[in-house]
Amino acid sequence: MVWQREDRFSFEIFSKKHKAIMILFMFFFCVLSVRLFYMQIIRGNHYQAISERQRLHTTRERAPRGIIYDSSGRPMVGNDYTYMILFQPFRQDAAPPECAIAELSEILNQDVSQAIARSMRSGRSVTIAKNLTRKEMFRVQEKTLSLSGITVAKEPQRLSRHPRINSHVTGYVSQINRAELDRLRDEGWRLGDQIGRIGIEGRANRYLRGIDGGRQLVVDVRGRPVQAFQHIAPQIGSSIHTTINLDLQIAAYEALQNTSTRRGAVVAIDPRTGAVRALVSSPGFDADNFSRDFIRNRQNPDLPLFNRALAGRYAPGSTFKIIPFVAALEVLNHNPAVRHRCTGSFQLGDRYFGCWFREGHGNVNFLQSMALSCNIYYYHLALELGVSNIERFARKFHLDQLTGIDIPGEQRGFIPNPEWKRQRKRTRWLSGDTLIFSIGQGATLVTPLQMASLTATVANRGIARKPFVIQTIVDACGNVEFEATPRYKEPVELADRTWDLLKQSLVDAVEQGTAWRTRFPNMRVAAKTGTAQNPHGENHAWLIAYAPADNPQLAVAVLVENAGGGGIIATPIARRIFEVYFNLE
Amino acid sequence: MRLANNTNVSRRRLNRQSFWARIFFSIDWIMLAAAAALVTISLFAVHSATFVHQNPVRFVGRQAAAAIAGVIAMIFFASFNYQFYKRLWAYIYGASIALLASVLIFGTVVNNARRWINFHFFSFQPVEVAKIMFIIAIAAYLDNKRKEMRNISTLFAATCILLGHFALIMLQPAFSSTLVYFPILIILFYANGADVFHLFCIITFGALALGIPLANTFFTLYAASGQTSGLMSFLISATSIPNGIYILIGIIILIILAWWFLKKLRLRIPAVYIVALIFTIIAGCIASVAVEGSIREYQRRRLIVFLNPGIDPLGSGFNTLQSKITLGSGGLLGRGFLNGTQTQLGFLPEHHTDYIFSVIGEEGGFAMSMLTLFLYAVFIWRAMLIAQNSRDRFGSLLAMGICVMFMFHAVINIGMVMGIMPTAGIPLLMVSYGGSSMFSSLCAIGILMSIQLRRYTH
Repeated sequence: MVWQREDRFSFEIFSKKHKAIMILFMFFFCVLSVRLFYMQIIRGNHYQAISERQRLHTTRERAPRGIIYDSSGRPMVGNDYTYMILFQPFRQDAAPPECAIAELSEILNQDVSQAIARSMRSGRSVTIAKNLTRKEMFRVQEKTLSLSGITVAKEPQRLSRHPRINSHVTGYVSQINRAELDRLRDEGWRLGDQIGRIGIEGRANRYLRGIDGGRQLVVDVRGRPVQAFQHIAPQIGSSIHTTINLDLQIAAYEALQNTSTRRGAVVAIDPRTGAVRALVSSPGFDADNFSRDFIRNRQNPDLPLFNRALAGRYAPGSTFKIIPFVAALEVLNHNPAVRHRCTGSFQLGDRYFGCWFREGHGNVNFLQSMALSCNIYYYHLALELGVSNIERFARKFHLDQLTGIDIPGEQRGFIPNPEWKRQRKRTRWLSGDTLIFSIGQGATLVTPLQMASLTATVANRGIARKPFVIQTIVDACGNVEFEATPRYKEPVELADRTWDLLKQSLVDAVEQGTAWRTRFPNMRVAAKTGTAQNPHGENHAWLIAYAPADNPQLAVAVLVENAGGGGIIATPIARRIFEVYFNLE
Repeated sequence: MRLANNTNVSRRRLNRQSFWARIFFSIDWIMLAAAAALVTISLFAVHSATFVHQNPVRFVGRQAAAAIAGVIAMIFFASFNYQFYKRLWAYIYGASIALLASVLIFGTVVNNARRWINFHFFSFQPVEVAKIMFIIAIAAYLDNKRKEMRNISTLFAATCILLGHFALIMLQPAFSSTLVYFPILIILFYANGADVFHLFCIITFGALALGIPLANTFFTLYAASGQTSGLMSFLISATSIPNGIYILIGIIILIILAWWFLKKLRLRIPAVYIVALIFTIIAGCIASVAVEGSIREYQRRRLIVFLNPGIDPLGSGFNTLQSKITLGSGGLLGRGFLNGTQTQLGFLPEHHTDYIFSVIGEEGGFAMSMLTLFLYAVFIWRAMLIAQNSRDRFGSLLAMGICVMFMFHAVINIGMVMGIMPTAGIPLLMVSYGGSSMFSSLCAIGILMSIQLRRYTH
């Protein structure tokens, strides 16, 4: 082969160069093929994932939290739905038109351009408006075509049946904060989620929380929805059946509201199981609007956010006399017939210790001392027992421990002793300290829940159960996820005679003593009043009671802050509770 | 190669056959089949790419009409003896200049560029045809100067032929369309026997003139994206004026030292080479200043951002990112015809023109895109054989110039789609939507056939 009009040599030179160029071209094709193989076969899934991500716009639909029921199946906390508007920037270079923003601002009665501008800058979706009315929601929904990037989302909101009454049992929800988010991200919590705080909401977050759903739309490059891709319906959280009796709860709260200070707590426990039938702290707060009312509640001198039933620590007053009573029988084998004379005051050294009844009870025997709540008799017992025996029995009744209730926020009681006084106050424990210790004054502190738990233990003749609120947890499909089982504390082992005499004395307190206002014609009630002196003003009124005395079904502790004597203030509340619970009258 | 070995046998056979049978057996059907397959793929891909956002019937119809017109032109050019071009090359070149000038006068402005002449019922992009006219002109010129290829003046004159086109195209402006001229020129120089050292100097010159502004743009963009480091700020200053001069002087001194050192080792390199090299480097650096002024900022960004599209994901890097996602998401068998989400939802820009290969890759997967690439390879292989078996030097150079044109359109376009080449708006010939490029590619095939058919006539 030779070129026309040229020699063979020049063609051969060309042939060599032609070959080199062919090799260069082959090299190019190899590079392109290898790159193609790399991109489509090796990295194909990676690119496919990106492609899916940018074409699917997911709107999260928050799942409603589970419903909280009372013991007879009436809802205490449920859900309501509100609508909110989200803005999702798709392309940071294609801002929505001015007129569309102005129109949206007009519908919502607020300027949204700032929020949209912020969203465009950050590239994140932003909630423009919350708590929309239905009318506003429909007006915005009509406009979504012209307002690219706008989504209307349905948002479940917690709704309490009786927000103030149940607030301290059920608790409240609020938005998850940064620290919690860092801790709980692995469990699927996300920014903007509602998390339960105190009470049952706080305790059972894991169950109450549902599974969020979502709607995925196929969007084009401008962010306009093209078609629906899939919709996963949100799944409601597990519902909780509590042991609370709603009627009892309402009655207790209303009774507390009728007192002079309106501050107090009621705890009612079924001694047979430990189920809490009522747990009320007054005043309550509006659990549905916790965030809105937060500042007001914080500034309220009545401390509505403070759960008095679980965390309020008060001197037990005369209700504490149960302890020296049983200690005297157990340790001293005290003869109930022994009488002491009450003149209204008692002299120890150069100090005088009074009885609440200034005129004096005269000669009182052991059972009468409890029924009449005569302090003088207990001063005598205290001197005979000594501080260590009283302290030992107070601890035996678990007064220094947490009750172990299944909702958070409980405080521990406090039982003083000489050791503590030496360390803390740097002074010696005096005999006078023993005297006031025996009548529940001084440094002793208990919570209403503890006293209710102690009453239940007394009603059970020593069997101590931990109180609980959550009976069962049932998931959305009806499967039982949790069922409460009785949990015991160390039983209080006393002689039968002691239990008999204690019961007799408590019944006497109702039949012929200070707690006579809780007397019912056809039911025997056992009760003990208490009047706790305190440095904050008027006395706290206490009452612990259980009924029926022979077959206890309800143990109650009532506390009213700074309202006066237990016999006058606290007994009507307990009476009301028994009326409602046992359907009396 | 087999064609060459069987020459005598086939020639004898041809002599015995009739005129039409001779033509039938002389035509390279493999090349034509590859081209026809590519055009078919093109029609389907354009249909898919315009399915949602435009009117597919109109686009496919236009593409098919251009292909039919192209086939008629191809038959015409195949029957026309290419050797006439050799005598007419000056006129052809003049016509091409007139064509490019006319677009500047009568052209319509689209996207701030005057690239189209509008004939009401169709519009026409003269640069596509001008490329082929340039190849004819340069092949003829180099054929005339085949004895003087080692003279710099020949190379210089040939470069001036290129610069005529280059200047007119840059006035449109259509910078990316000029990119394919340079490989054509350099490879034809090489094939025609130019001194390799000269070519090396030309390439060095071009790389410096274009590379310095692009590198500067890239480093500036990189720093602006927040990934600043000491090295980056050094590189920015090294590619801009005052510090760049010191570095240039340093490099020149290093070259001289190296030459002196090699001389001590008895490795004698003529001093003229060193002087020419240094001169080229200095000229390249000076030219880079001019280039920096003549290419606009957005063009420079587009040309360089492919190295790391993440530094400007919503701006100049958007096209590259989306095109890579589109091509990659096809996988082995693709997402199905008309089912490519990237294409149909508009994430892929320019999907029926510059990024048509991505559409094929997404909807047809590796199978289809590899087939397209393979068909291209077959087509260019057959075309290169025509270049080798041509009757004369002019035919060889002409065929090779056309091969290089097809090859570099494919390399730049497919490379751009894959993110390994600059984002330059040049079409994938025979596949991208565009009547002018389809028509002119088929004309070029006609010229190839003309060379092929006349390989035995003396």
